[in-house]
Amino acid sequence: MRIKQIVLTNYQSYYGKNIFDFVEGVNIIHGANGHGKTKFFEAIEWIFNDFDTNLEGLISQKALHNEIKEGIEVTVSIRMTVSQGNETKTIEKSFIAKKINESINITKPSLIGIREELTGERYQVDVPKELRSEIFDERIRRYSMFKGETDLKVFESKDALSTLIEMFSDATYLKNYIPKAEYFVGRAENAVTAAGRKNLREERQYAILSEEIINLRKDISDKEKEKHQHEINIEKINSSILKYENIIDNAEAYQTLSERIRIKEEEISKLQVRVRECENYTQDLFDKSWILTNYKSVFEEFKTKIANVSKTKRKLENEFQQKIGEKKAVENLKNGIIPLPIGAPTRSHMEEMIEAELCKVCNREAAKGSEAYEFMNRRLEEYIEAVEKDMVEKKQLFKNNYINSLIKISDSNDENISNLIKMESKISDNFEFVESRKTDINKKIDEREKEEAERAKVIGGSKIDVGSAATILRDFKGLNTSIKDEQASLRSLTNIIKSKKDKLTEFQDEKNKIDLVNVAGYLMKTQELLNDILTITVETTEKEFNNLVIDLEKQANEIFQSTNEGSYTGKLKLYKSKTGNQNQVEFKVLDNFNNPFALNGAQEVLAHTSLLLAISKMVKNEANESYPLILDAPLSTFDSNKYPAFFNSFRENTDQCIILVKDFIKEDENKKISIDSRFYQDDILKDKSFWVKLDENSIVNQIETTNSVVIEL
Amino acid sequence: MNKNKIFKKFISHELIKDKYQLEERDIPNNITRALVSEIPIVKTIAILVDELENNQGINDITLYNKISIYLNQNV
Repeated sequence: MRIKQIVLTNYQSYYGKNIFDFVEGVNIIHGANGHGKTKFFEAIEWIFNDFDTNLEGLISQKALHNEIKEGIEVTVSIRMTVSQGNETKTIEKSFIAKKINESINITKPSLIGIREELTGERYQVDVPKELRSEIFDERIRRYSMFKGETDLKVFESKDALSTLIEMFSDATYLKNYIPKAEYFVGRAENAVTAAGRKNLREERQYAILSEEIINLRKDISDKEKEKHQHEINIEKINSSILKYENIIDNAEAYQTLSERIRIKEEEISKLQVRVRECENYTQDLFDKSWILTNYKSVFEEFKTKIANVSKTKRKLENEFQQKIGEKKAVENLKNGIIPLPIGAPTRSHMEEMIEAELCKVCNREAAKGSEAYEFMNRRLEEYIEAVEKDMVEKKQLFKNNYINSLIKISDSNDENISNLIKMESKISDNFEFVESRKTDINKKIDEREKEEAERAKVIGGSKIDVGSAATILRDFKGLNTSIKDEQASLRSLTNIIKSKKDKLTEFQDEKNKIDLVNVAGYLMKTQELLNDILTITVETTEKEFNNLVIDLEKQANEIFQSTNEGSYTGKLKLYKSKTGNQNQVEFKVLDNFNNPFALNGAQEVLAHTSLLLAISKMVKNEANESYPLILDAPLSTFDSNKYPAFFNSFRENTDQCIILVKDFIKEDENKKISIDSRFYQDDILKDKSFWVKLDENSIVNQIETTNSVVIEL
Repeated sequence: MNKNKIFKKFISHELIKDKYQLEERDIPNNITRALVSEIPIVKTIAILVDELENNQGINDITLYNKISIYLNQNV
């Protein structure tokens, strides 16, 4: 089957009618992200999809705004025309959208199939779905259309390969002969048994033997089914174990690394808090105190002024008090009051002397009631009157003492000023501290990244977290226990089946002996010959499958080596196994010592595409039919030096492929996009190329303006 | 699948030469010749393939009767 043409009309970003005319060989569709590349891929998927949801979302927004909302009816359709055998076949899926009462009415999608014969006769088919399956059967499509690289790793599932091989190999066809041959053998045996009964001399023994044989066969069949179930279980458990193998192999290492990462994260977090605090503090110093760095001279001047003012105040105060004192003395003299001599005792001394009845000035006794005693009392009274009364009434030059407040401010700022002087070096120290902690943080981040890379290696790309690692470990232990149980059951059943088969052979030999005597030789010979035919059909089918696997492996390796020229990438190996009657083929990449070979992302994709291309060749050889491979964005992990090998492998090994890529789109400094000149180099073989891009009227973020146009390069 | 191709695949099985002692010259290379062969194993395989490929809907009983009658008379 070759795709000749695909027409997208008003589908998603494709406004109006957009035609892709394809040729045999490699068709490449370039498109930047968001320009309609994947919409094209999805359009093909949509033709084959019978479960439509959100049809309104499929309508071109430009058609919706320019036409439907203006009352114009719009048809959304995808039409695919292919050549297959001697016919041209067209399949078209469409629906109509129109505005009714301010809402959009959408018809149910319809499918039309048109068949055009070699003679040119053209007619619409009655059952378009059948024509659609004829063109591109779902089972084939599953292995022909791949969105992204992950899709391409299709052979990670054991069933994928065996399904494809069985679909296209002669083995599937030959397999139909096996039940026929089994039926013939059963009938021939019955004929022999029936004839044996008729001529029987030892009727009872023969009946017992026949019954035993029937029972044994039933038992064996039942046990085989049971065994098959255990094989399936083992297979399932094995596949679960394999799925986790990379993780489980090092699950403990995974947990250790996760713990180390957690500790590193804690350390980073602590350091970040310290840095933040220090930065805030420094910020604060800048915001609130930096302006004070020049305050020192102002403060010194302030201090000097305060000292001078204080000194002047004290001087003025003294002079003032002195004047008051002089004035008082003059008044006392005027009033006949003799001022107290210098060195007169204080009040407490006088009280002490009166108490002791002794004048300590002249060192004479002054008993109570004596003249001397009375003198001392009078002098004390005078003193109190002259000094203390005067003190109470003492006049002050300044009512308020503001100087004290200023001195207090000055003293308290003395400490601040020392801090201010140190501030510059403090800020500088803080910077150094922050920088040094930041270096520490970066170092820790590097260490954490290394640990994470290590952990990524351990988990082999699986997205598991610490919690699930613990679950996996637990499950793994459970799986190991289960597989042991299953294997024990399988061994026991195998032994039981073997012993029953031995018994069956024994009974059959015994019955054959009787038959040889009693039954006509031709019936025995017919039975034997039909048994041989059964063996031939079973073994030929098996051999056919095995040969195909060997051939496929050889072809895939040839393609794989050619796409990886100059680098060692291991060998592709296909392992065939059997679960019950079901063949399974496992795909592995091994080194020369048959150990699993670790491929990088691009190599892994190439390994799968090599096998895919080998299958494509097999299909062509075995079924005389080929199908196009349609790949969306397969190159994301590729180095550009691998592009030629990738495209060329498709050109050499398929009849047609459509590859959607963004990797050759380049953008200049003005955001103008173009196709990179590398694409036009001779080593990239292609037969036709297209470029899907938003036209110049499309405005980013205005979806109603977007329109993808198709340019044939 | 072409019936000659199917026939050739079955008739190439080692049992044909090993057990039935057939030489290369005794083994026809197409189904038309195999249908007129006098060697029971060859003709039985030919009948089986020919009948099944010509009439995919043929039932097992009819096919078995045809083969067993031939074999019972000729084996």
